Amino acid sequence: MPNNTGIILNIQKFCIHDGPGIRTTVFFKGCPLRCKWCSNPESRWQRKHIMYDLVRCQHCGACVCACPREAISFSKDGLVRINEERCSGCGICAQECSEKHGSALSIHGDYMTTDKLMRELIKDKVFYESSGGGVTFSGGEVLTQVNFACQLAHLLHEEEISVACETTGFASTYDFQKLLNFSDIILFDVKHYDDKKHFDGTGVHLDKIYSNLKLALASPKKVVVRVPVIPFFNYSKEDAKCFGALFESLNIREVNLLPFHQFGQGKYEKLTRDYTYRDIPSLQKEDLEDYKNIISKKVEKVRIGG
Amino acid sequence: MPVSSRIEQLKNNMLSEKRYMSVEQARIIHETHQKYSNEPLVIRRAIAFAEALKKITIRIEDGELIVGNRSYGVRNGIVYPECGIVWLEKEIDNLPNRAQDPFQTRPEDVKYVKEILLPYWKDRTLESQINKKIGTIDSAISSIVKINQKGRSQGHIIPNVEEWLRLGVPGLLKKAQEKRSTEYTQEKISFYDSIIISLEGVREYYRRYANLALNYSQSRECYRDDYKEVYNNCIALSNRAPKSFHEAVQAVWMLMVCLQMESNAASISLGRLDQYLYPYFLSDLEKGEITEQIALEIIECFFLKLNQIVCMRSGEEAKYFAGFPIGFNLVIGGKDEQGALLENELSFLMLKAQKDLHLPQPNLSARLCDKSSDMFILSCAEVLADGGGIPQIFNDESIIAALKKSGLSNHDASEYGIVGCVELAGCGNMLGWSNAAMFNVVKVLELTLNHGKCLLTGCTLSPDFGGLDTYNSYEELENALKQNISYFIELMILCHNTVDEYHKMNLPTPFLSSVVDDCIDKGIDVTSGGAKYNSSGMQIVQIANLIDSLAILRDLVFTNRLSGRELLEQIRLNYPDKKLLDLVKSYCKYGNDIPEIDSLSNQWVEYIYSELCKYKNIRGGNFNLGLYTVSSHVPMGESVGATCDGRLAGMPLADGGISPSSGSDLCGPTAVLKSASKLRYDLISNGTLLNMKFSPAIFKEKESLERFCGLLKAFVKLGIHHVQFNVVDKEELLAAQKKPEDYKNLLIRVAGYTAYFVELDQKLQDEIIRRTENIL
Repeated sequence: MPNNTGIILNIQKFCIHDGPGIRTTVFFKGCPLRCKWCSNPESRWQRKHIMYDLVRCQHCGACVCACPREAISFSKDGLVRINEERCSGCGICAQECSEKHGSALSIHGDYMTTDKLMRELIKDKVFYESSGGGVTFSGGEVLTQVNFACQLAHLLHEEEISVACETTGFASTYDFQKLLNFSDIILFDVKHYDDKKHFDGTGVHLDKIYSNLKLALASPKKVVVRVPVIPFFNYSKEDAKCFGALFESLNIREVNLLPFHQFGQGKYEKLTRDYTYRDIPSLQKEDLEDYKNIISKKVEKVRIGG
Repeated sequence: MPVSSRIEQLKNNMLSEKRYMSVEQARIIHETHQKYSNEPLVIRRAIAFAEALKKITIRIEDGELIVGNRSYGVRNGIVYPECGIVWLEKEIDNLPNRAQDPFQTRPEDVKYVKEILLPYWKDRTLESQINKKIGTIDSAISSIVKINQKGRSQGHIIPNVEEWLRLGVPGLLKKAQEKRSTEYTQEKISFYDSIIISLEGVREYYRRYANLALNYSQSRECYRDDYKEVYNNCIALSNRAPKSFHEAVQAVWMLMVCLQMESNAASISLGRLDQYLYPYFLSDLEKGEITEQIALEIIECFFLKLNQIVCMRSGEEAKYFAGFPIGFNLVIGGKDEQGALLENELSFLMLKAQKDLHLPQPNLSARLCDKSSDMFILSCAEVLADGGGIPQIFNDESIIAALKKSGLSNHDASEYGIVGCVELAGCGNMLGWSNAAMFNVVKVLELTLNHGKCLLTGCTLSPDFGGLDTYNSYEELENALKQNISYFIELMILCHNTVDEYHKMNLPTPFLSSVVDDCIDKGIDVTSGGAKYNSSGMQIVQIANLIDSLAILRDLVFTNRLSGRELLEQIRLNYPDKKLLDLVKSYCKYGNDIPEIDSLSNQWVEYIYSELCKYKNIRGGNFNLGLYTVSSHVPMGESVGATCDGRLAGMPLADGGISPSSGSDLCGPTAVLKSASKLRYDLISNGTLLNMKFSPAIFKEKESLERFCGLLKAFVKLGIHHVQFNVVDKEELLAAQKKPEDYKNLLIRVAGYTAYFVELDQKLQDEIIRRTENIL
């Protein structure tokens, strides 16, 4: 991939919960974490990705024949299965399917140059200016494309557009420092305080994340810590207490609590993947009040929602 | 603070009273016209008006601080024989039972309409005369052009409220008498006499209310102080101009009542009332005679009154103007000629009154500008949060320039108000005929693609300039479309000018003329061109369907990616080929901030503007261009076959005026505003209408409310004339579940996340719907 090209899952305008003001959020594709509750599983792989809609599928087999890499097959129960190792994301199958057979396959992710992205991001400049907003890099994990993100941020700054990054903080210090340099605001996700549990829920250890969080806090940049509150993972009162103690020790001033939601469930079905959190009900704002109150004892500003 | 018990009680009483059809004024009109048949028409009309003011039964409710109505009952449907009552012949028996806007009837009234009014007036109404003159041509072009105001007085005007308050009835009388004393032509003498007769009638009306209040003050102990105040106000206003805030508000309401009695018309609006009333408020405040709380109660009493006059329409009309809207538009905020911000305490009190009452009238309009205060914008947003789309938002930055270009002076343009729904007008100096006609340009495109033949009936409706099967290039198609547009504009203007002429001949309105500059000075009735500005407004319907269709033609057909012959066949047969339908539906559409698509609009706005510039109306004024439909995108869509943008035959056109086609805006509200901002607003001086939908949650949290205010500020910078916001309710979400393809753009905010509703799983949708009930 050339230096000025990245892979983007989606650009969403009028985002009002990913940093201050009215923002456009760029979802970078690719994430090293495997959070069990992830609501954007299609953003994990850093390449184009095919999603499959069982309801629309006519089980005709056209996609199987169309695939030049023999990555598609039928399972015993008559469902389309895509071999991730073989799939190159070329999209020939989706094209075949859309034209004749119910549009059951769709392609996610697009290679975009910084110029192409800028043409889109600059369109809402008047809204950023009027509301104190800007552009938010999210994902996936923006750190997986940090050099590309850096170039993009530079162009945005030339247009006096502010850049927020929503990040897991999971990267080398070297890469994280790059992100820190170009970000105006860091929305830093902290998912757990306990390394074992963190590994269990996300597939990665806490050490890099911690040291990058400390790096961010020591910088002059505004840092907002965001905790996804997830049932069976970090939703107990004990968890809230431990988070409170941790944040106090790090002198963190602002924390957002993001209640677990179920926007992702349908996507797992379309990716024909198992989902640990299938049918587990979403948490509502009310459900987090106690949790919030506990953390509020140790942190100045805690709110529910982004 | 909760609404006072006085307001609560008055509101409940008003809403629980049954609506009746009323013929009381019709009797007076009928009798006067026969008795004075030898007098000139303008005198006859003035006498009929004054007689109604002298004779109509009046009442005052206990606790009312603002009094007056045009009929004894509240929200009565007034039968007005001079304009259009023929519809009653067929519909009167079903009036109490019709689905939309029913009115109770009394047997003796029904008998009177059937046996006396209809036989006499049937061939004498405005409607029947216009019909005789242009009925054939009007119905021949009815699927392309809808000519309005054929059966109703014109209305659509803002009187000079400021002068009405400054001079009072006696002052205006004096002005008319002075002009009369130096006048020698009989026509003008009659005109001034008719004004004097009318104003004397209004004076008498004040006295009658004063006397009634005096009687009640003696018999109704509990409300004695209220009645005394009403007595004092009314007796004062019969003798002089208002001095106090309370008197001034009473005078404004009496002006509206009397104008309605004279015209029985929709959209007689109020202009910048927060400005006109402010000197009275300030002076009372300085004298310590009023508090904000007292002023609020007076304003609320007045707002209640604005809901007591409704417009009774025929069943057909009521379908499209459901809920008997009367169009009491009231403007707050904005800047002055020098650019200074004019928000004041009353602007905020009026927003508060709207929040307290949550009633359909007044149609509250907030003027925003580059200097609008955050506090004002936030207050507007807080009222919008309650739903109902009030206040609607207007933009000084684009509107003042457009009005200046249309011929208004800098001062008059800066002091603009809103007429009825969204029409832009000078205050107290302009008869804008803003709702003169609707021009269905989508139908014109259909005829241009199909050799002048209607796709639905096969009838030839226009000259054959060619067809999609014969044009060799996009430019050829453009030229044909231009010729066809010009052909229908000429016919539209011919029809409209006839209607305008018949209003002039049949419906002189001397009382209205007395409160519109420069009718008294010129000695010319407002219907004959006495006003300072005399435009007529023509609406293009609908820009979104036009440019979406043209984009397909330009980018797919004339680049040989799609056969023109095949597309023509498909729209003739209403898209039997679903694959092709999918192709055209999924092509880029207006509303997504795509410059290549959005830029298509201006060529047509410019062309239609330049065509309209070639004509004058019968009052010597210009034709102004508007882009709004209110709700006629539904009936107008019924007469249009399948369109190249993938809309099926008979389906509604895009809504509002400049809104994208339903479900075609996929990039959120900022992209819609950006697309809408590409229009040449400087050429669109009659008004535009943009509808946007938001979920209630956007307005519930402080943080997102602030974002919403940022959106409004950007709207001002983008130079769009108007926007209004619908707050989505549960019914809408249920509808979205049933027809997701129509609701692709529906943004919903739940549990801290914003998402497109139709993209969510059924279970989650159900959950949101359940929760929405709580939010609302």
